[in-house]
Amino acid sequence: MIADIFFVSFLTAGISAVLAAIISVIDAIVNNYGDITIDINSGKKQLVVKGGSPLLSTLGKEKIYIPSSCGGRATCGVCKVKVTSNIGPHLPTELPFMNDEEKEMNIRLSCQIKLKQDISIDVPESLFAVQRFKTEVISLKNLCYDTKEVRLKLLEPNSISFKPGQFAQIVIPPYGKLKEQTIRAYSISSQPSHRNVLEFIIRQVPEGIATTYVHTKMHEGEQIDIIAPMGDFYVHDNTDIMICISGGSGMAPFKSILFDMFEKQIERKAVWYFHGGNTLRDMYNMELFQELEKKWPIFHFAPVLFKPNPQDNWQGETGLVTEGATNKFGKEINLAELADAYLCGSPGLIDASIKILTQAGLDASKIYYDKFA
Amino acid sequence: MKASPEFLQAQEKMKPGVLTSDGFFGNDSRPLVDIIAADETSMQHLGITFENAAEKLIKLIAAARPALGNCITVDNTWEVCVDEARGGLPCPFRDGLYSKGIITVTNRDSGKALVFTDLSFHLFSKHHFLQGNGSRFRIEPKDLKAVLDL
Repeated sequence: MIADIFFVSFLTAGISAVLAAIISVIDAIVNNYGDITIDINSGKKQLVVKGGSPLLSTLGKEKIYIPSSCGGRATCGVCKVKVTSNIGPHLPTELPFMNDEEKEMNIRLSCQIKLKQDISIDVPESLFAVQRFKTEVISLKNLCYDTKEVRLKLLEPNSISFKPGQFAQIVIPPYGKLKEQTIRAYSISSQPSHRNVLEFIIRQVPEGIATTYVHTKMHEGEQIDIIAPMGDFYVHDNTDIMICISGGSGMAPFKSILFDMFEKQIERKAVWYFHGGNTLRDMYNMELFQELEKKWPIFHFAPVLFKPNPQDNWQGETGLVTEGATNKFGKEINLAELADAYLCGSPGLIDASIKILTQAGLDASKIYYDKFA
Repeated sequence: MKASPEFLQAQEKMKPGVLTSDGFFGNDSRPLVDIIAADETSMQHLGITFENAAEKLIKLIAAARPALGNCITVDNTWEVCVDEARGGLPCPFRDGLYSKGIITVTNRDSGKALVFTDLSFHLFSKHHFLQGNGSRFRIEPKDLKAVLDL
């Protein structure tokens, strides 16, 4: 009896495998889409590619890297592009990632668009400068209990040009139960003057695929691919007061931005940097910014602890990081001279910071942010 | 119990390495629908409902969100920390994108705590899925009752 069941199971599995193979062959023969033209940014670039593959991976083969975190499995919703030609309605796999405005504008997940016909898309021009780099891990340093500093030496190409505040995608190789590579975005924390080394500040997210790898598997000497530079978070020209607010690993872009400004001696009436944590154990790189404060007269570093422990012997600001900022408004920070603000952290921190800054009179269009979302 | 195609697709996405490194099942080999059915029965036996528990958690989370990742005490009974992290995770049932942040609710009297994510809260409240035994973010019905004083 059991032998009969096994026989039927094997027979069923065998038939399924044969059918799958036949379907695959038929798909290759019948669904031969031939050459497809991808028109990018109204004729600025035109690619002739073989049809049948997803737009995301096809563009990647042509060295146009659309940001993506899941490698095309429709689980991250990052690889959005605007499609300006008619390719049919959104797929069910795209809809969870689209708001009404995006649906209206025909924003699509490039990993879900199978190239069957000519297509026109709009992408940011800055993506044309994005490259894939081979790198080597040259140092891993614990900054605090859950945050590491990772430094990568660029091997090929061996130098990069980027704006401080931009991010890179790190390609995490398969490990453990993972069978495919994973791609995640991290702000670059080093200055652009360091053209062949990139630094990142990476906080461990429990169960996070990439951060778990960085914190438990990554080792010095290992080769890792990255895709960079990406993003439109960078400092805008102005000479009045600039405010930066961050929490957690949101310090990364500001380390790049502020040390670059110091290096280039960028003129501002004042530069204020507020960074928040729960207790002293959440803080890192404090001495670095305190040293910068001593060397750069216009720079003011204001770390804020929400609930310092008695043993922290904390002498600085306490409360929410946004309260640390508002305490200075109208006193040490002349709001009439406030030009712009830069924010990096959780959606809650960004929203709360926008609220206090707009209440202080800063136009919302002068608030730039890198939201952890 | 027979699973619908929607449940089978969600089950695939909950396996290790698809959405998260260790998946949603821990060391539990039961199918998704069986885990849900068993936990629904446990909740019923304990005299608590998903709706009441979700309502209480929503209140606690709403109180803690303005603390921007810092921990606060609510009603002198619960310490609540809502720690947001970069990135989001889509629901395996394809009905939304949720922050990767971790929420910790500790009952200060008993010291017992619930640790879950925005996504695991959604899976709990909308789909009645408390995750498999051994999963890092499994919500045990008896812990839910004890921590929330239900």
